[in-house]
Amino acid sequence: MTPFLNGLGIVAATGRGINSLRSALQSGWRPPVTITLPDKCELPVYPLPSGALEDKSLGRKVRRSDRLSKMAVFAAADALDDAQLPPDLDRRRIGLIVTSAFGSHTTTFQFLDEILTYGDAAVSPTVFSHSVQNAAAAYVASTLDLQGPTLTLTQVHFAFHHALLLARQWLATGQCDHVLVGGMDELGSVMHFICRSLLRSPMDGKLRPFAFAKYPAAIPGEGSAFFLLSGTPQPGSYARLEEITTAPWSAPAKAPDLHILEADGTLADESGYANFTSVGAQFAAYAPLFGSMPGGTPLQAAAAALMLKELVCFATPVTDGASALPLCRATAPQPLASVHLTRLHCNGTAGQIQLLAPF
Amino acid sequence: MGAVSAPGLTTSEALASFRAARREPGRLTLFESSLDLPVFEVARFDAAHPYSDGVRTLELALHAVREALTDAALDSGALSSARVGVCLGTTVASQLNDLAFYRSYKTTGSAPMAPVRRYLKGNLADAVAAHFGIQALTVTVTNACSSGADAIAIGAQWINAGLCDLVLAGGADELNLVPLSGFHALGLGCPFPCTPFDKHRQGLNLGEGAGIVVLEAPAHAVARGHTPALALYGHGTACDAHHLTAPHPEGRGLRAALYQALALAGVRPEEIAFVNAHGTGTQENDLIEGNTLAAIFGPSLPVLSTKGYTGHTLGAAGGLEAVFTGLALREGWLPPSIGFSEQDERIPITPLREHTEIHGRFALSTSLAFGGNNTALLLGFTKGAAQ
Repeated sequence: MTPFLNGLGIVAATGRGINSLRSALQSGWRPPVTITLPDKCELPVYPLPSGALEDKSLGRKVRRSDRLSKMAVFAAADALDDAQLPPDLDRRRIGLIVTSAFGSHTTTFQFLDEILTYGDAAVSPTVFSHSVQNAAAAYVASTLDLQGPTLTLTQVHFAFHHALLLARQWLATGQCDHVLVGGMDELGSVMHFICRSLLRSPMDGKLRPFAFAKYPAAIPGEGSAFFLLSGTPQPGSYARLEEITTAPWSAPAKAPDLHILEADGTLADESGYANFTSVGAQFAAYAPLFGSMPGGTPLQAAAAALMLKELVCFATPVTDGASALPLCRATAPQPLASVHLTRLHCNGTAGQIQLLAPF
Repeated sequence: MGAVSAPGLTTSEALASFRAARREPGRLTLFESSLDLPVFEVARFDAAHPYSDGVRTLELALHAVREALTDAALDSGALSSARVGVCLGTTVASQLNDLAFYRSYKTTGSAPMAPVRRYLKGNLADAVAAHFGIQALTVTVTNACSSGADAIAIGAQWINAGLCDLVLAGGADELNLVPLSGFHALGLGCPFPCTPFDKHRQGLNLGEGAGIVVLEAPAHAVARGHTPALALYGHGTACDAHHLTAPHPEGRGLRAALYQALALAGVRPEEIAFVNAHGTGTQENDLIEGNTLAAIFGPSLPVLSTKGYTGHTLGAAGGLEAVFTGLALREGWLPPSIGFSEQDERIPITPLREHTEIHGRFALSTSLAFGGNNTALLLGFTKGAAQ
């Protein structure tokens, strides 16, 4: 079973929607936003642009939800819409898997704040409900009337990869006709503080994925991307999901046309990515558009899917440190047949996804 | 199977509590709270082992995993030579919810990073795999109260897909101020020991624990000469797509999950010996669940809720209740559904009031969750196993 990616929705620093994604990929690198923390320190970040979560039609359905749930609902709704499924679709046969590295931390910290401010006997039930990790999935399911199996996976490493594995299984066994799979993570004031404490910011505001640094710099990002996976293709299909692995690294059996390295500064040591530079006709890294996110694979996969659908290779936005590597240095039409994504884990394993052109 | 919860540190201890129809809810001792609500703490449990870094949920999980491995006649060597999966559900261990960290941040603008580092390296499934030194397929499910059951269903799917020979699956959660305070805010905390399905029920009590099953591919079991007595024959999961905290009024998702599990197992409703219900003791859950079960299985179905013994253990509940379902099949008896006394005329089923012998090959465990998720697990004796 090789599922087809038949719909895509994205809300990220690049904006909301496929057109914004394409435009950002065409425009190339842009500097992050610099915010000033309460202690007057500055932190470069890639937040959602203002207005990205404004939508009267959808917004009415999620007006009580927290920001993370809105991010999930908007991207998931766009993916379902993009797939142009028939309106009489059996909603009991659509599954949903939502992934995140950190989940609803902003709302959880808001709830902790209520405990400290008002006492544990006088907190808001609404804030508590939204702090539960599957609140975003609940909003997606109820907004889109998805009655199939619904899962939330929260783990720092490879949650999206595991979700794809499960979605493929649900489609292969006939449990579902379609599965909406995506991931999201958000920034917030406490997360800004955590990132400032644990990560090193680049002096010039540039992520350098091809530096393969032992002490890399990071620029925190946020966003959400969802895909509608189906067992059969459609005229608008983006890609085929050929392979997903999370295991000690081994080279892909066949060099892909494009190999996306997900180096984004969230690993303590990114020198391991250098081991992958012999595997692929050309390389790219799109983290400098989205920012650093341990759960950022869905965003990078969105870029990969768009390239396979439109048969265009978008220039890698930051090429520093890669003078000897065959990079995709200029945006141009290419007969892309395969794109491989690789994300490393500090425990020596790699999460790898192989996407093929749909037709 | 392995279980640690308020009724006992092991499955044997839990069975002894069930046999005696004994439960011991008490005052909270693990952390400070102004709320005077009974809870089901795991007493006599030392979570201060260095490898768990003080994470009680992880220690509870490891405790139950060890018992489950022993019960399955497996040692750590067997884990290193097999393709292993670790799929665990939790709620508390998946959140950045350290109150001391946040208090420090709020009052001083700074805080030590130790709790964050614990979170970063403390993912429950990853941490269990790391403890045993195994390269494993690891997933942590955060589907609120059905997490443990969902994790077991995923484990079965991994086995069926040929991805794993063995899967350690289930759930674990420790008592924590966030859900305690949150359920109280929702008006769902019961001020006395909970009474699932009772006419005068007033809500749930929180508990803690871990329930783990070892799922094994049949070929792997045969190759090592192991004949398990029980199998997971079916599972079903469906979403109400209705409301963040309230179940669908007609039990839409639960009904679908139950029929999926029955269909996958090829089992008819009348072949089900009993159902270990989610039965939290809240008005809505018990009303919807009781009516849905009665509609499918009839009003005379033997039903119980073990939450009267354990409290609601959130992410652990689905794992614990699957283990208790398996134990009941294996033992051939069910304890009384403790706390149930007076029939609610709106609920057609009547939970067991006394120790009851059971006969039959199959049983179900149900889990309902925040967000409208519903999961059913169908367990049964393997062919040829003594019943």
